Amino acid sequence: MVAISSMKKGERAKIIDFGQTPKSMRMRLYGLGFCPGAELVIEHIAPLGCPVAVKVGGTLISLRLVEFQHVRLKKYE
Amino acid sequence: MNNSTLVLVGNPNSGKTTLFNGLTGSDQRIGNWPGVTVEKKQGSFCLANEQIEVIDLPGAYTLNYEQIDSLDERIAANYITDMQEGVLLNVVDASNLERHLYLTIQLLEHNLPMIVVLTMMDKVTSKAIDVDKLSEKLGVPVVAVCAHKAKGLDDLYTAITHRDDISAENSVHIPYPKEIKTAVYDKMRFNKQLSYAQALTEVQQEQQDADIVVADARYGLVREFCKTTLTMPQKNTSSITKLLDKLFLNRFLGLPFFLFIMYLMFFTAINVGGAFQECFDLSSEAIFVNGLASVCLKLHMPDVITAILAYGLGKGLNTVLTFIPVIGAMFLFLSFLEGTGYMARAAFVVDRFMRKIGLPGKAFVPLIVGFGCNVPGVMATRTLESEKDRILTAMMSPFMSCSARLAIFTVFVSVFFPHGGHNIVFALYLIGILVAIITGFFLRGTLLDKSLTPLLMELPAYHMPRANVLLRQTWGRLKHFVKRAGRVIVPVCMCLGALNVLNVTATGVVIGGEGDSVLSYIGKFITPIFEPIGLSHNNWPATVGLLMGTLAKEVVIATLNTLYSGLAGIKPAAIENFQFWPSMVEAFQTIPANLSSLGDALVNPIWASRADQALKPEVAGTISAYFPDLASVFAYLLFVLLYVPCISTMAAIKKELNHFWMYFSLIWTTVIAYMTSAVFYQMATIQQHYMSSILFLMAFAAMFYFMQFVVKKNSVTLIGMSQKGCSA
Repeated sequence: MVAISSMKKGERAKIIDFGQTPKSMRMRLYGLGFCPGAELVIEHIAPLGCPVAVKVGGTLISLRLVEFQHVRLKKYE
Repeated sequence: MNNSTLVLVGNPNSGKTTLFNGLTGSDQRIGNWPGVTVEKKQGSFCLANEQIEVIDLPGAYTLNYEQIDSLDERIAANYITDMQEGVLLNVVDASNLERHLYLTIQLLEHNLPMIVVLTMMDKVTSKAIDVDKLSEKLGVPVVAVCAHKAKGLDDLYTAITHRDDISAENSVHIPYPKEIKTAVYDKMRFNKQLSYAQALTEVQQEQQDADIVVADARYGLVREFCKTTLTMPQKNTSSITKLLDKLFLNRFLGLPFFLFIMYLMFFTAINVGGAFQECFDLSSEAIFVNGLASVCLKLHMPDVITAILAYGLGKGLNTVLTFIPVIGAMFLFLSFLEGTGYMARAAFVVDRFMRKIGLPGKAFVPLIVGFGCNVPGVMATRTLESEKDRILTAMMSPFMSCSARLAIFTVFVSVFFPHGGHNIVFALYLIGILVAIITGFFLRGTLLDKSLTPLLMELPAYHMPRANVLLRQTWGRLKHFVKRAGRVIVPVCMCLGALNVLNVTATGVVIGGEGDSVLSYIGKFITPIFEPIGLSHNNWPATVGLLMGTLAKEVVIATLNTLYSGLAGIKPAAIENFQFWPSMVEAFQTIPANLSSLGDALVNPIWASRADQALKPEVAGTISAYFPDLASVFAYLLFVLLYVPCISTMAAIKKELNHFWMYFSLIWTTVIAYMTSAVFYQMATIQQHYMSSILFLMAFAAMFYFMQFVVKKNSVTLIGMSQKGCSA
């Protein structure tokens, strides 16, 4: 189980659960396609490492590491 | 039930706006949602002899929100919850079915008549979606269109014509766990007024993890629908988007490219737009100021009337119209950037840096524009999603030293700081930026939320916006500006302009003749207030310059020229020589002249945008006598840098935000300007008067803490006032 901050460009992962993510953030994430079981790919990383652009369910979403830090992911090797 | 209203609801970037434009054509009204500063779009069209109203709700990803920042979601959710009549048009992007259906499921739970409109059909292979199956599963009519190419619209019109046959009852059963269902029905029994959707929302808000379970159930159903209706897996990103993003989002190239785009935007808005500004200025001056004045003269109107009409009202109209080319150019460019989808990338690239000053990445754009002119800078804040960010950026905008101020700086610097003058100017720019950042921190600690707006943002596929859409958008916004800003600018211009031209002579208050203008009298009266910042009381022209500067910074040098050389104001004698058509020709001739000098602007757009002004040589000598020391000059320039930006900027703030923030900006800028220049001057000249300097410094420190105290103590009332948005 990893957090998004440890992922590199091009890696894929699956959302296991939202961990300690605050409710307000969770509810925003659902609407964008992030739900338990969803697959995501790290497409781009901004200068200085943050924010990251993540592909989920066919959509490219940019997010800050701190917003996503509590989401627990399982990396695909 | 009156069903002649269609309500468009869907995700941002779903093609909703394109559909809205396609349905309503040019019959649109743009206003604001009551109480907030979010754009509201309404329109209508005729179908089968019926007038159908269309409302375009703000794009929403979900109807269940928790944060205040999701203003768009809140507006959409509230509207739908309160909806008694009308038909929902749920716009769904066919190439992103799963995510869009998440909202569709929520909409179904509101038990309202609904038609699902699948857009972007050109992006999916023609047989990829079984539209009939989807309609069967959802229990509502589903129509496939390609809004860009106007295909499938006939099917949509047919569906709309038969809207009365649509059942509002939701036939889809979402498999929520038993505990959730029980909790919802309990609530509904307890409160008969509560609808199913409202009860479900409340349960999610009250119970700790209910939302996860609910989202899970919804997505489970959505996935099942997709599996049965999609005959092939959805295509991944278009290759163009992938290619362009390789450049724009590149870890190393992304930032330089962004700076290049900013440079282009500045150039287009300020330099190219500005090339047309002189034409608008001169021609509107010829019509509304000089033309009107000569008409008044011919009709033998009393001078006071002429002053108010021509030099007040006329000047006001002239001021408003002069901004049109620059604002129009900026809006066009920004609409283009946003329409292509690049804006989201820009925000992505710059986010990390902007975060340090408490702003989101997108705020970089309005601030950059502000270096050319504050008016389009403030208006560009409407591209920011969160109201709080808009307020913050608009409050910081006035401190971005605009090109008109640059003209004032260069003039003074050439007289007083012949060597190293560019350092002075650079220092002023930096101070402006610093004060802007401090303003941001002050506001975030007191009247505004301290938290940072989340970035979570979709990066849509690139696409080429259509020219007519861009032009229509720009035109709508320009119209809006002229109407709302004009309402503020014109009255103020009427006062100041008239006062500037009316002279107090032995025979009474007239235009022309000997004697000082009314404004000069006021200036002389007020000047003692400015002693602490270094204006000696015989330096009243400088004060009048500041007063006129509230109208527009461009007129400060002209005013100073006039006053210091002791000449009278605009003379009616000149009016008798005024010729309308030659003036108009002259006005239009400035266009090619300005366009040809654009080549210079390529190298340094900011420098090129400053107005061409200089002090008359005889004035340059006189002025040195009035400013006793260099410190007083710098203090004056500090004041010019920081104090009230022109009335047009104030009007723009009122239009983009509300009354409260306009007055706040007015007071804040003036107080900061005064305190900063006074502190500077007192520190610089401390040797001349230790005692009074120290007293002043203590007084200012006390005032600063007092202001903070007052604001913090009344924060509840002030926040209430600050949130009253402008009504449409």
